[in-house]
Amino acid sequence: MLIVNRKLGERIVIGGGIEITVTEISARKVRLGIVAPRGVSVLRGEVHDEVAAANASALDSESAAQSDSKEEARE
Amino acid sequence: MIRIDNTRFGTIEIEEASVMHFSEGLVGFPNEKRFALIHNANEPIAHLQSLDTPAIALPVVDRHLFGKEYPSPGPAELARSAGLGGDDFIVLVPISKKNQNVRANMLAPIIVNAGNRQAAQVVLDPQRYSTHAPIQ
Repeated sequence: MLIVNRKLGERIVIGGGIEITVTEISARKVRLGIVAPRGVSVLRGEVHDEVAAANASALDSESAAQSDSKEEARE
Repeated sequence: MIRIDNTRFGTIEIEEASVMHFSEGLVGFPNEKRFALIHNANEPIAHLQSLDTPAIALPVVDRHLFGKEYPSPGPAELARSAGLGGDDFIVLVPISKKNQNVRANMLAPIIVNAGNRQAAQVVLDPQRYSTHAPIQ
């Protein structure tokens, strides 16, 4: 992981189209401003992980349902 | 025609024109970029079959199951912010089945530009929608 120091108001530019600006700093929190092109999703990490887990669970439930129906077919 | 073996539907053949292209993949599955919608007319549940990984088939239902208000913001705005464009959209909601319970991932529907078949999974407001909403 790349780690950089930034002061209030300073930016990071990623890939030319994405900019992250430090807009506020307090003891336990930073506020970030993000500019990204349309089509690039920007998600809080925990929301991303929740959706990824829901997708994985939907796929799993499907293979479970499939093996269930195979079991039933065997009985 | 694209032929894909070993799916839950067996071997399937998909016309190139009906392939949906997800430039960012699904959330958590960024490498799955091509899908086809497999829909048996008698069943409410369709499947988004990955054309890259045969084992991946995401069960989905049409958004109309959730009433006229869903999704908010509406399909056109979601498509625009996802960089899809177009004016005719299909919105699909992933579901999961555990025992007899069917849950809908209303937080993260899939939006498809029906014209050019560009598609994306978008994430709505987590304060408003859940990943495991019960279906009546």
